[in-house]
Amino acid sequence: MIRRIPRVVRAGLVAGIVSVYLCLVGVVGSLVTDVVGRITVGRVVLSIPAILAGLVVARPRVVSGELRRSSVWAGVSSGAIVGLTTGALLAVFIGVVNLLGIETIRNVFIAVKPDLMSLLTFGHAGVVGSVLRIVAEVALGAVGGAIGATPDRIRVPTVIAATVVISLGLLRRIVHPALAQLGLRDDWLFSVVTLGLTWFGAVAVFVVAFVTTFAWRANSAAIVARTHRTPATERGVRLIVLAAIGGGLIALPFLVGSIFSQILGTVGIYVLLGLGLNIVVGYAGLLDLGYVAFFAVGAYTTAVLTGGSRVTTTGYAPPSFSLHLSFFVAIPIVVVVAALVGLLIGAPVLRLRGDYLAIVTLGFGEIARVLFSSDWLKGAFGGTQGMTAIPAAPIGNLNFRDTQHFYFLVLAFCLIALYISWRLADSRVGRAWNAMREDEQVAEAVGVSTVRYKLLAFAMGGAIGSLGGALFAVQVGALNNASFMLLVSITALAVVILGGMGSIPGVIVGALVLIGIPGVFSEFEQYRLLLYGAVLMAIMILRPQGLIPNIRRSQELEEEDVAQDKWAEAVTSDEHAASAASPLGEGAG
Amino acid sequence: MNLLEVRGVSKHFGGLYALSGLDVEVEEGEILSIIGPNGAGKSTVFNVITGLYTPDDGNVVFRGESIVGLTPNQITRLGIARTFQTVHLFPNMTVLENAMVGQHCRSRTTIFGAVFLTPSMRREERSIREHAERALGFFGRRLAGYRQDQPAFSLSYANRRRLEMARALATEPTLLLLDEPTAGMNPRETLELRDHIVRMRDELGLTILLIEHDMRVVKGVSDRVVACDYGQKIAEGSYEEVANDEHVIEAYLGTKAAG
Repeated sequence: MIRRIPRVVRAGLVAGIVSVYLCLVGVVGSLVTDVVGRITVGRVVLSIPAILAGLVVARPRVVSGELRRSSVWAGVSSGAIVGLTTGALLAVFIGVVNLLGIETIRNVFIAVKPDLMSLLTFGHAGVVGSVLRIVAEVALGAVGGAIGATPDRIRVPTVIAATVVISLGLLRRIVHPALAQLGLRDDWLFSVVTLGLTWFGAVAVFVVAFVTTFAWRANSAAIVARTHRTPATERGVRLIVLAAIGGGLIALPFLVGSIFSQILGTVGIYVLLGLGLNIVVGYAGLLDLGYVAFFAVGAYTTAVLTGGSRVTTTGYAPPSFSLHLSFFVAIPIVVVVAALVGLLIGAPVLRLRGDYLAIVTLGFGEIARVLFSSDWLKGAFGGTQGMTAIPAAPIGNLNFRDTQHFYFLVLAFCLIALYISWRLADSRVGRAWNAMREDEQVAEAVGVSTVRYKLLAFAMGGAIGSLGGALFAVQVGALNNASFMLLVSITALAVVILGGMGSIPGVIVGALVLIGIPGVFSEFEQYRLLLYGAVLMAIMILRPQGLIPNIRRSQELEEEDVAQDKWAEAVTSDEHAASAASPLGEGAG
Repeated sequence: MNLLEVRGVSKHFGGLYALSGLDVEVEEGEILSIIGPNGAGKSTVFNVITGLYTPDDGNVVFRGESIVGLTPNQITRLGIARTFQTVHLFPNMTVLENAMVGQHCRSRTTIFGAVFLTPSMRREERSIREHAERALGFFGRRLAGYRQDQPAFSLSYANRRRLEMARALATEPTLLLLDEPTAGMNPRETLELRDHIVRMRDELGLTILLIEHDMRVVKGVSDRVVACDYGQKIAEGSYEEVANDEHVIEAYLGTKAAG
């Protein structure tokens, strides 16, 4: 039945439902930071569904094998219909609220406030407000349709530039100190009053971003071709890029200031968790939902070994077993302990696969958290109060509780873990894991000891994950069971899935998207889980293999087509010659 | 001395006897075919020999020692390789990687070697690659060239079968078990494969145990043939002897009218 509704109206309905939903959960009404001029985050968010739906509807699409483009006018008109539908739904929403009264609705949806309604109706009561909203949505849909109908070379830079402007409008807290550090003024860019972009700044940024993207897209092929002209230039360019990335990584914490360095530190911790889990899930194909166990083991072992105190009712007390090792002496021990725990968790689940393995490991994760916070082990780990005063792994003047210094500690650990993951992927061990993931029984029959390699995967994954836990202990200096909830396992798994199972760059991107972006755009902090859900659903529908899938080819594919054609030619001509000469054909009948 | 002896092996699943007291001897250097109607227990013998099933009774002796109770990977290491009745590859790994996994049991690099790039690891990685390429090269240009870097799922059906055999060859076996290798192949590919099977024995010195339904292949390659029905051996000898044995004809065509 849904299929019979025209596509354009369907898109409008989806946009309308999303808009009403965003209003109900409070994203629209409660986010009042200004992005550009007096336009708040809430307004921007509210305008996105209609624009996006208009854009999608007007975009070139394949109809029965043919790429069909809409003219700009067709795009605008279909976008307008989308907007009309969206606006109609919002008008219904406004009408229902007016009919029942805001107070009644607020009993259930606390985000529905007078502020929200006046935002929706532009401050006009009654029918006028609804009509204004519909007109606004029609305009937004038409804008989306117009963008969608323009050719790629205009549309893509437009969307990118708009994204840049909106992001920058939310990032004064990071951009302002960075520019100040460089001695640059930014009062032309950011309004001192609203702390968002000025209109002049927004237009300037849009133009710069648009021109840059446009020029890059037009010339990138030529630039890439020039750098690849000889092996020497290619190597040179690669060196320059590597040096730039390296320099950027080193300069980053000083540019962005201490708050954002902390976010980077947390991203790094999740990169470690992701890399470790990637070995277990991505390489070896063992679905582990209790990965938080290793995070907890790493954190608590570090706390005990480096001399943290447990929290008691009367103050602090040393745990029953306590050493005052340097963090860097403790780390190898932590890794070994985590690897042993990996064996311990791995041994009983050797015979389990898939769903069953997931459920049992889920249980192990909870067991770990409950054990560490239990009264039984209170003497060692402080029970529910947990541990505190964990030393910050000082070396000389460097104190890693300082977020900017901590960043470098995390960076170093991440580089080591990245190197290990990378080496393992392309080795005899990695191949054995991959074979096991593809088909356990066959891997065994081909000569891979699945028992040994499963245990190895748990131990290795646990060891890398425990580094994340150890760094977490240093970062926050205090632990309790609230830090080791199931959510950590889920987030780490989401990082791996979002990036693409088994893909190392995928883990980095996954951690940046799921940890970094919500951290940077802290306006959305309370909607973090909502966004996780939305992002994961979108990924599973649009790109189930992950953002950076672990398959070698993409650009190589084209070269391969050429190679394949040549090969086919050679083989067929050979085969003709061979079948003419040999008597092989005679028995075939 | 016999390379492999299956001595009185029984295997039942619930009340169903897949094998009941089966005896098969395989001499070194021969090609022995096992034939029999569907459900005769042919694939079960393979699963017992390779350790996927533990026999309920009887013994499997390889080079004079019992291999009952060993895990499949240990048996592969001893030198018994197999292919499956339905093709089982590692579909998302490349063709070359599939063959390289075959070399797993002949190499020893650990996590330590892989991470620290030890010279012995590099040497071994090179040798794994060479062995795998040689195994793929056995099938001429079918699995060579650009195909080596393509994922195994992109191969044609016949090439998947060949790759499965190449992977088995890469384990450097002395005894190769082929479970219906020509199933699903066209007549021309079947003939090509028939030559390959003979070459595996003549050039690589393998002993081959073959389950096959295509009688032209059985006739063309077998030194000896064993016929099974209901988990028991019903005839043994040259192809002609077995093909003309009345038990065999009965097993395939049914009994003559009762009376």
